[in-house]
Amino acid sequence: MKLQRKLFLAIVPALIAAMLSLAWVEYAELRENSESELVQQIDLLENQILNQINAVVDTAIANARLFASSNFIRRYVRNSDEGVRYELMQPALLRQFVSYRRSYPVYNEIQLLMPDGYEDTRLADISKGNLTDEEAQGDFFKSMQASADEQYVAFVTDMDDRREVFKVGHRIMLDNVNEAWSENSSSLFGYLVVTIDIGNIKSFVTRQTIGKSGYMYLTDGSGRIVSHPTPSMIGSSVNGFEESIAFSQEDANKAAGDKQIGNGIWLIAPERNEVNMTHTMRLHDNLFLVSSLPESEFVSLSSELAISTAAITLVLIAFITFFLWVIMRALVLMPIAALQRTAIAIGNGRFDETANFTHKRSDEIGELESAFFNMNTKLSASMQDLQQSHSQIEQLAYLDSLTKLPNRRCISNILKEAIGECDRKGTSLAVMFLDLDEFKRINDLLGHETGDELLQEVAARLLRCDALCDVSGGVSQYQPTDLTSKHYHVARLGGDEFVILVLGLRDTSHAIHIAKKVINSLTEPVSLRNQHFTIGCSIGIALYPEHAQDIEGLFKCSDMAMYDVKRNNKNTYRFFDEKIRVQAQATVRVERDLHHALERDEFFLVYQPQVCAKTSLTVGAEALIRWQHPDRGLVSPDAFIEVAEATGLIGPIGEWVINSACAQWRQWKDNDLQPARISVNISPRQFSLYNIVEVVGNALDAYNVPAHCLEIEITESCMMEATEEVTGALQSLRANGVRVAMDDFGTGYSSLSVLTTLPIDTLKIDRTFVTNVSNSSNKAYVLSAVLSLANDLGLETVAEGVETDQEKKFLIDKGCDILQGYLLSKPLPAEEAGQWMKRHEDGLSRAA
Amino acid sequence: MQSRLLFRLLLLSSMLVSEAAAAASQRALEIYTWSDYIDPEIVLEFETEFSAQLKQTYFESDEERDRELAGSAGTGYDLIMVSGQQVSNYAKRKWILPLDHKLVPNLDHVSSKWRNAFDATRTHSVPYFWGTMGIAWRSDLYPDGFDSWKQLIEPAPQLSGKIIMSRDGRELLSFALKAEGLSVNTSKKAQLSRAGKRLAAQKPFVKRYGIPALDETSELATGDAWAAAMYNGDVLMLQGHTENIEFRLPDEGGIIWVDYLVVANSSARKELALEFLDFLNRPEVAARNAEYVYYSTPNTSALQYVSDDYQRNPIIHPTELDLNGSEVLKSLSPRSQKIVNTVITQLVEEL
Repeated sequence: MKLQRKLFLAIVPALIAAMLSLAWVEYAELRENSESELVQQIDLLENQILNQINAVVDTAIANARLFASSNFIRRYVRNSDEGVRYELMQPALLRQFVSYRRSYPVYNEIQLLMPDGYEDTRLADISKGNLTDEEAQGDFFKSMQASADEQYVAFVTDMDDRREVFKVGHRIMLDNVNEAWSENSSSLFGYLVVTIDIGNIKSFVTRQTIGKSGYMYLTDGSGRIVSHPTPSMIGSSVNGFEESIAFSQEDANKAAGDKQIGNGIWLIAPERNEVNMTHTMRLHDNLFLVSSLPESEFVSLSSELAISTAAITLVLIAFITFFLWVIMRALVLMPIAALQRTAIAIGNGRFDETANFTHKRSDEIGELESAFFNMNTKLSASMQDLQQSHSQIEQLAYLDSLTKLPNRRCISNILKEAIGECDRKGTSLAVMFLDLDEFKRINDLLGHETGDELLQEVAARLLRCDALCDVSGGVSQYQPTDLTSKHYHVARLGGDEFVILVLGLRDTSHAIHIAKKVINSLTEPVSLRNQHFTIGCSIGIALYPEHAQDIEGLFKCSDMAMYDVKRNNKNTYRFFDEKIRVQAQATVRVERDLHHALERDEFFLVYQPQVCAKTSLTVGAEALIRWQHPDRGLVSPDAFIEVAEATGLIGPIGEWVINSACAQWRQWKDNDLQPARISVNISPRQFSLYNIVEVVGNALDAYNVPAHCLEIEITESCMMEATEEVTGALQSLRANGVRVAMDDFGTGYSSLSVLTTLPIDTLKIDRTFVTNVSNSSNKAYVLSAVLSLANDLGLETVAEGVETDQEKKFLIDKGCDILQGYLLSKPLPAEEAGQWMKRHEDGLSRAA
Repeated sequence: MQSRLLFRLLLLSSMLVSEAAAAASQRALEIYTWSDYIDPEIVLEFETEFSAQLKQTYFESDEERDRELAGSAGTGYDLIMVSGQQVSNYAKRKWILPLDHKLVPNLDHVSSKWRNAFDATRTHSVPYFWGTMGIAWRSDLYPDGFDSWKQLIEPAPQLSGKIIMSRDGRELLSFALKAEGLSVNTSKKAQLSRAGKRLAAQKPFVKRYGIPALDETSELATGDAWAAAMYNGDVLMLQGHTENIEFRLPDEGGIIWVDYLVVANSSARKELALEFLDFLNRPEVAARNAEYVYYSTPNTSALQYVSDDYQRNPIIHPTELDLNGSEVLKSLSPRSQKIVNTVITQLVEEL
């Protein structure tokens, strides 16, 4: 068992025990706090609701007094003649009630009752029915009549609509005018009653949540639930309600038990299939507020607390343990590990390790260090002899046998050391990947022996380039023990691939200087066996640390840069940049995915309708390929057609396009649509891959498509570079009846006169000419000239990219035949294109 | 009951003239009436001929007048303008004086049809003007037009929010009762409640409850409202501002209103008040007053002095055939009136 582990086993259990006991104390404290927080929340809510009720009732009492003392009401009730009251005065009284209700919309009824309980005047919501005019039998009226006070307030069930409401009644007492009565006497003339809807308070109560699942509800004096978050509970009775009222009415201090709060009492009562703790508070004589909290809430509260406390404790334990470990490591484990490393180094023959010993420690570890030092001195002397013979063996493994230049393995080592030095000194280096441009040809032509001689000559010239650019250095053979003291290294990787390493690079111009020198040197004619050759080379340059941070990366980057040179220019150099990497990666990825795209059916066609300019009727559609890549989504043709052409995949893809378009034409036809014609884009590469005439002919036959319904589109630039093979094929196609269109006209720098000789039927004018044509007089001039010429030559004209009404109008004015563009329709999936054509069916059939 | 906005300027001048006359005379008559409801020149003539002063106090609604009188029993006024169905209420409570025909000899010229139209009107009042209430509509905006109250109470969908209905309880209920083919004077609680429900159902079609304005700002003139229940005289004023207003008494019959002048029992100048009533009913005076007010006069002798335009106006003078089925609003039993009050307040005040 390691020392480290043993120390841990001793310390950690003690630590855990201490922390856990602390955590337990904390947990108990927290639990108590959160329980009392819940209780406080309830207390606060209860008082808030009590205050709301009191405010509403107090306001209503004050208002009832105010309304009852209105002069008009007093005059009204004094008038015992119903005729006068109802025919002359009541409309005005009702209007007064209306204004009260406008100010206090919660008063859902205002009534004037006669002393005998007859409802004289009533204003209520139109929706509220009126059970009777005789209120004398109602409980509220009886109680109000019996009450000794001027005002009477009660929480009752409204007889008219069975809603629970507060009713506030105010007596209307007037002085007696009859002389038979004594002077100060007054008698009762009626009651003004205001009914208050407490819907707002009810919904406030039912909206409250206590803790997580606790709730509140209202009951009347008999325990019947008046308002409850679960509407189905309304009307049912509360279990043990009598008991809770009894408690809540007692002095809070007298009530026993530790669950007591405020002026109510906690009771445990079964409710809705679970044990709830309820707290009941009297809000008004006949109205109680019950707060109900499932006991499980307290339990889950405890368990949550337990979990969080445990989590915090564990984190603390981990933290403290880590600190102990760090301290132990610094004091004991690290010095021991250092000695261990030194021992291993000596074992491996590196005798300079003990130079790091400080000889300062006076403890046991210090003594151990001294012992190591002595041992090391003796060992190192005997090792030196051994090493010398070893290096000679090594040299053989690190050199290219043909050119005596370092091989890949060797240059990799040099590069590794050089990178380390760059890091230490903050300098940079360049890796140049060099490939001879014509080597393969020479090798094939003149044989391997000559090729080998050429390579030796190249190696010699490359080594001389150092001498040429750096006067202080000389042409020298490779010295394996002196890897990084030189700044210029040449290696052969194999075949005609060389690598030049430039260390201590000052700046990029330094690298450029060397690269130019190399190119100049190699392009000088070579004479071998009495023959003269001229060769060139492509150089890709990668810089450390800008382009890559490791050996593999530097080789790869310089290789990619070289490949780029080879592809584009040859016989020059190029620095690696991100564009090259991205391009290389993208190309590789697209190439890989393209191989699968056809098998997996990832291509589909969209169709952009083409419309007759004169009649606005549909004459055809251009089929456009789309690639639904499973990961990258929709890939634009720009991103894959070029790769497809480069890899030859354009062959099967193009064939698929022709077949799919013909199949679609047939499907439309079978569905009674009349697609006049369908256009397909053809890449010039397709002509060299197979017999396009045959492919098209097969597709037309397979789907029974008349030849004149298919149009082949070739871009202008392709048409210009067309070989005889291509023109021949186009002529054959035309002879068979297939139409040929020149696509993107205006982008390929062809002169207008060329139009007279080309084997085409249709001229598609590129969108760059159409866009904003109405704002550019130059464009307008060129466009109208093209249209007019095409017209004279009998060529059909199609304008692409028509996007605005002005462009459309211009094109129509200038005699363009067919319009295509977003103004008419974007490219549509086959089904939608079919629907689009259906909508324009009339036009299609006529155009066909 | 009527609203008069057209002659506001004339009203102003009449008040100035009255002020001037006040200085010259000690005998003042207090009359409580609608504004601009007497030709100011006739007032001036009366004041000159009888060395008296006529002071007009205006009310703006029947309700305002009734409330005022319920408090004062008429004290402070000599003459009061009352709508027909209230005359018997006032008479029953002895707020107004029974009239001696001999003291108002010109009553001979007054049609007994209008004198007898309501309870107690023959004994306690002098008819002043009468008119009808029917449906007015914009014939250009709503070419279908109206033949019946039923079409107004159960309107076509396009009339949603385009109707103006009266704010007066009895009038409102009477439209619905007429639409049901009932008498406007029913006292049956069930019939009144059902009429109230029909009005509640009509409410979404009602732009507002009240009287349309009669100048160019009127909703009927701007086209914000297409139809309204209106007094015939008001229609005439509105037609002065807007073409395309049509008016008719519906097939079920229109509502006929009659205004009466009564003498307050508490009046200290009953004799002068009676002289004023007699003066107003001199045929030539009544004719000029009628041309000024442009309502139908119950004074049959006055018709020989009026202009052809006035006489031939079909809106002022509906034929007997037009009036077929038309009724006056009579006083209801107090408890029926209570139902009307409650139903209509709830409806109109949007409760």
